[in-house]
Amino acid sequence: MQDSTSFVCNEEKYIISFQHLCEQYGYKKFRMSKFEDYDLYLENKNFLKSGNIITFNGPSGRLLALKPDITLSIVKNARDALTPHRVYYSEKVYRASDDANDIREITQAGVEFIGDVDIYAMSEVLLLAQKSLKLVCDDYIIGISHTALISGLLNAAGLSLSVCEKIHSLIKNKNAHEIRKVCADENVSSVLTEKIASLACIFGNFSDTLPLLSELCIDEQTTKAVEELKSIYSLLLETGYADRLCIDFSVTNDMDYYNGITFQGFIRSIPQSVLSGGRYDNLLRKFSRQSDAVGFAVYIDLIERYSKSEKTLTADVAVIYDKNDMSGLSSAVSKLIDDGNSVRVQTCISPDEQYGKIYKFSEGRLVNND
Amino acid sequence: MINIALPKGRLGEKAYKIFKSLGYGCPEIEEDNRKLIFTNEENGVCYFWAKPSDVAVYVERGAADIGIVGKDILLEQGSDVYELLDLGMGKCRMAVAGIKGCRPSSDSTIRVATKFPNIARSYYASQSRDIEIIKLNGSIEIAPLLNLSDVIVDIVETGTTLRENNLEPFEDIVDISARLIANKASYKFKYEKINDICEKIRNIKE
Repeated sequence: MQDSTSFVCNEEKYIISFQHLCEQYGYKKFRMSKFEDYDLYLENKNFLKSGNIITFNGPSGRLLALKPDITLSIVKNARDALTPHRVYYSEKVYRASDDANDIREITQAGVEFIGDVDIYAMSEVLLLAQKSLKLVCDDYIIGISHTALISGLLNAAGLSLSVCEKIHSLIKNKNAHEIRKVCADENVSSVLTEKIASLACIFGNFSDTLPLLSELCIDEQTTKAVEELKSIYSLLLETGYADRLCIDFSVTNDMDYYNGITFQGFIRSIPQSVLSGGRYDNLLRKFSRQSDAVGFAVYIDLIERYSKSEKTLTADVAVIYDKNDMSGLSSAVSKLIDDGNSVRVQTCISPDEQYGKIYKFSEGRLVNND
Repeated sequence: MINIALPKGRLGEKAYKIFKSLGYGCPEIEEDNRKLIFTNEENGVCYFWAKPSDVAVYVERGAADIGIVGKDILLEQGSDVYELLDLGMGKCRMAVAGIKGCRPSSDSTIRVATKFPNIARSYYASQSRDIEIIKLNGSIEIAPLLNLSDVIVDIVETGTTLRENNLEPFEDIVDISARLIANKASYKFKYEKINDICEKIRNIKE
């Protein structure tokens, strides 16, 4: 029994307010073509949420892909510059489902900040992430993790790459009991095991969880990561957008691409994350850029799917007329429209149509037909 | 309100008894009636029975906030849910078995009959072995006896069925037991209650 939805979200309306929000913070719209060279996605497969890309042969035999992602195209085209590159987008992306039986067109909106990413830049992006969920509903939560804290603890345990990956996915599933088992098999000290397992368990707002985080600082890298989270939190406190931010390491993302904070957004009564983002300097290095980057994407199609349906009238007014009696009809309709109504003129009304008011047109006059 | 998906059968009944002992009982569920969903407004819980292999689907899609499910099903379906606790009930193991003394040779493709194709595939992939999967829905043990397959990948509890049919387990793949799972979004919005349930179960386990 799913909790009943309490928000209304219409894709077109959402995009308009999202664009307005981004422009308030000086972000510029990024528009791209529907296609990209397939190589771009093939080389960065792990960066994509889903590996199912729709490809086709372009003229001269080049293999093209219907874009499954926007960030890669933005990064490809970004140049290192004196001031940061701030862009937003709202575009369709294309993905095949896991069983590849159907192809889906998904509307995605997002924000990318490329340049010198400091504490302010990260808190600005997190603020935008929260405001873009607030456009839908006040009851949202952003979970935030820090890649450097996780990799710092895993490196200290001296685990092989495959074991690290295994533990990383156990953290994603908050599976502390199996983390303890894997650590025991790998002879990790019990102190360090408990610290790694607590990555799976810690959840809560900053003020409750900060003392727990300090216990995870074992070296320079982990201390720096926790300090970074603290500083972002105190900047967000100034804006009043800090109490819906939760420490939650299960929202961690691919460690080859993400290096700092990662986060996901949730809205009550939607069973999966509707926003995902983080800091991905590593992706820029792969494109030989010196800039850092942080950004996020909102899955508008998912939000709309769980939205309460808007009950809308077919039109404000219906006018029923007789085919043998039409003189004066057009001017009567024009008058209704000039008064601010939407009007449908037809000879009868079907049961699935709903109107605020129904008139009958007879002998040059509109008569109430209630 | 916390929605709880219980697997039909012995495991689910045992799990309900645990919830009841923690103060999350629901008198309706113990009555002999034909209801499908059982609610107790007072302690804010709502239970329903589901086919064991469907529990993770209900939880992943948020129709249930938490659920009880076997690790075998989680591994096979690769569900995107939080696995919060190992309940230590319904213990058994996933194993490769075959006719006594007839281990498949390493120079040929192995025919594997199983209800768990994903588990079998990833196990043999980790050993770089070439296999052919034969998906069956039950009575897996017959397959090697009729030479339908070289081995089976299946759940072994006591091993009695295997022994009585001249079969033996060759290798263990993974230990199986019942897990408490939670929907990733529900966990965040209903953290206090879900965490309370976990803490209480952890306490009785110790």
